[in-house]
Amino acid sequence: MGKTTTTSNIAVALARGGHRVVAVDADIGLRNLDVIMGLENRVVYNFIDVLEGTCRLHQALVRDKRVENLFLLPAAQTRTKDAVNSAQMEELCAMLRKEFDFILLDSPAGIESGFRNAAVGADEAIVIATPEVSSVRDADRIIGLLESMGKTPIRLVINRLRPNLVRQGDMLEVSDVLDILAIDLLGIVPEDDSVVKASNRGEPLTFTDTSPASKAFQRIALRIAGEDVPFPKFDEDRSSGFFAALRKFFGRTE
Amino acid sequence: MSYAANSRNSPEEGIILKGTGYGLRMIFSEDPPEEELFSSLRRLSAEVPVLSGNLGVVLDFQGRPLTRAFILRLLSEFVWPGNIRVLSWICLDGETMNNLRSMGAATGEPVPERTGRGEKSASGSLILHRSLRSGQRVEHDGDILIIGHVNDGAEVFASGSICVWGRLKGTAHAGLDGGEEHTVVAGLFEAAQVRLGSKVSASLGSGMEWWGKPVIITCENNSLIVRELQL
Repeated sequence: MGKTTTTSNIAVALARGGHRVVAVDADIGLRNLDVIMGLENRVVYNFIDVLEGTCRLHQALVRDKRVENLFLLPAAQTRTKDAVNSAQMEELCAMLRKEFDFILLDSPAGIESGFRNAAVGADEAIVIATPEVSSVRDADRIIGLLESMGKTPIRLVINRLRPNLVRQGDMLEVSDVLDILAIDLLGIVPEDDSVVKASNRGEPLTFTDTSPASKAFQRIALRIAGEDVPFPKFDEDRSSGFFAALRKFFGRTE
Repeated sequence: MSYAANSRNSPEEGIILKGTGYGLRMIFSEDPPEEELFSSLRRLSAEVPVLSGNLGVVLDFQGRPLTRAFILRLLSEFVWPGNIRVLSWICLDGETMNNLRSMGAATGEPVPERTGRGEKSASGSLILHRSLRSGQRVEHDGDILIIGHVNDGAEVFASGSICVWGRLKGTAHAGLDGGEEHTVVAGLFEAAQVRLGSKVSASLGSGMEWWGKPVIITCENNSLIVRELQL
């Protein structure tokens, strides 16, 4: 539910905040992080080449020229999830730990070996869910598996929230999701058309500061870096409708 | 059943003993006077030590109407001193059955147990101080008490009863070995399905008046009954 987009945006936001960051595409065989970050034409080696000794780590790392200290470590597109094992992923993370402040591992979908390999080397976990019943159930399953692997803390990003649907009672509220999943909230990203446009252009939104989703990803990055950032209320759809008209009539602007 | 070989068939004493799947069945003839039945019972108690064992006994009075005084005498002279574990009282007389039910006695044909009752209580209860997430499953031979939620996609299986302190959204199956005398209790019921013994609930949904409330689910007259739990 937006793992790769979230990874790329958080990685850019953290790097812009002055941290040394690497985004690792752990989705072997279905890699996308390079496309979403706009670095696909600069990929030469991948992390499996590193693990197999075909190249050195620094040869496989793709530096993003748009911002200081941001790197991509791509996955192999011509291999499958079985190409690596847990021990190798731990070894890779150990190599990266020496070089970077933040290592973001973009996990593949599912609960099979690909997910386990992505999770095994991680210290903490971020679970992305949309406020839908099916997504929350999947997130619950993932959280259960991460807990059993001893990952802590596990924090939640609620993605693609649509405040107007929540108001109509057609979408789960943030409090409902938190009540079910019972983990700490890291951020809420509102539904935003510019996310899709940015993904297709290969320019993560957090390179600019304008859209609501970009601001949300930046707040998430600040929280990951340890800052205490308040959660804003997403009630921006007040510009239309009967009550908005009433507010305008009485001269109240929010 | 091994006791079938030892079963006594002596209608002149007014009582027939039969071994069954669930234990012993004592069939009382309709004709002999009360006093004769009691003297037969005293003889049986002395001769058949297995009566006072762990074996369950069903008392079948066929068509004989029983007075409250007779039931009380039976309890005080035979059941209680002999430490008899009565599974059920069976009588064709409606008035007698009403009397028995009002006294709180078990009535109706018992269901054969697939595992011994003693084994079940020996295994004790399982108390979990946590919530069950989707995909997690707990199975226990005995009762299960969960101090937490059972989320959508989680499963709880117990040979005894299940009590969920929090919200029940996943699957609960109590009485896994077929016993339908168990219960499922939930602090907040939002499950799409619940199972008790061999019964499976059909079409539960948010339209039910007890949806989202504390409930107790039992099996009565071969049907699952959900009641709002009011403490």
